[in-house]
Amino acid sequence: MPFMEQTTSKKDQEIAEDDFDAHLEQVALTKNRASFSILFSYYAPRVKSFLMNNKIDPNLAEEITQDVFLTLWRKANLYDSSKASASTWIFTIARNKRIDFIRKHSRMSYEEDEQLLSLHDKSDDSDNAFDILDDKEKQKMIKAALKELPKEQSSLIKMSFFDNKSHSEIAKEIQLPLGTVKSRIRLAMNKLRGFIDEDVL
Amino acid sequence: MIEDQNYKQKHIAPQSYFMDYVAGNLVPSEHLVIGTHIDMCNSAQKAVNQLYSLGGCLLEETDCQDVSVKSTMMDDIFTIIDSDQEQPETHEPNTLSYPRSLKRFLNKELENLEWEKLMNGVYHFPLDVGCDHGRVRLMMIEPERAVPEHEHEGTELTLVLKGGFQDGDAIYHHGDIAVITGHHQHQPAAYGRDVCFCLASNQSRIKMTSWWGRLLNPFIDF
Repeated sequence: MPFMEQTTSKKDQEIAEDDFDAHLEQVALTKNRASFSILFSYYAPRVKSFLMNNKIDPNLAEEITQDVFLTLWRKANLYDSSKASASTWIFTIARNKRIDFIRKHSRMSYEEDEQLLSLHDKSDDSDNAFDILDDKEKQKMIKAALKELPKEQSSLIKMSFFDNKSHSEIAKEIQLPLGTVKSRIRLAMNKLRGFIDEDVL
Repeated sequence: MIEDQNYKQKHIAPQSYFMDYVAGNLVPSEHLVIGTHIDMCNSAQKAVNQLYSLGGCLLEETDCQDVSVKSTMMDDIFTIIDSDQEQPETHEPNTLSYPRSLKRFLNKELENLEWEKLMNGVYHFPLDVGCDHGRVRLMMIEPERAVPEHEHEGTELTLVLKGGFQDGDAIYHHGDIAVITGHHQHQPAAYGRDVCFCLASNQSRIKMTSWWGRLLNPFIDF
């Protein structure tokens, strides 16, 4: 497929370099390779790093990263910027690929496209202010909340959520009782949230 | 299975399951049960969406100073997509009424499955999620019937797909999940007049604890 005319269109120039959602939308709408390159340069090292944090060997992490971006290109038509930010969307692809990798020896693969479709469906019956914000707003709040957290709490969240460590592994690593680790993570998540009904989680 | 859609679930999985689900840390059997629970429960769906947002935030803030991808990767990707063929949709859409996560494991509606009888009024239908670690199956309990009292060594997740069941004082309906960990004896029984259908995962073999359950134990791979 030759480069498309749109790559030099005026619209393209109006998009700020770091407006990743808009670039992902351009990939979706016009198969825009310049936008794809921008997304790739920013997120590919992050995706690889995320995979390596999850104890995946660097060469494999590289291979999976390539796969993540192939999927990004092929499934871009499912992206809806009103539902999810680019980073949430790319995280979801990387997460699915990682699950696939772990299940490599099994016959099952993850049905990522359906997962992407259902991501951030808004429900109409929401009585919770947080739910009607879009993902970008949510992320802003989460980022601000992450910064507010005491360091030991934010690092616990990263360990459990991002480094693929079970609560008991974390307890061993930081030499605290499992119950303490669990309640600290819970506390941190509660602070992070602060907007979900207590009985929900 | 669409009935009861307005029911607001009262028994929702603990937060740690949602974190592990989004992080991709659950074994396939539990991943399936929790995924189906999320499909059926609005509150769980909200919680999980939030965790995906958190994942996106953390991805963005990942320290990647010392990490780089090989310089030719982007060209390689363009080479591959240039040779992409338009692939016609080959598989027929699955129109069964199961929640999304469960659908692809089944090709018949609940009532038409080839149920294996475990004992009078209690049947199961094992599912193959391509993993030896733990197991997952559908359960069918007829009205006024109960599973013999048993205990677990590992974790049992039981999600109600249709009907309901009662375990002690707790009553579970459509989309509710019961999480039982460690040594815990219980005896779930169908609730109400309808047949109860559940999706259940176990991380270890179940031991019967009632005297007649114990008698059955050697004969039944329950």
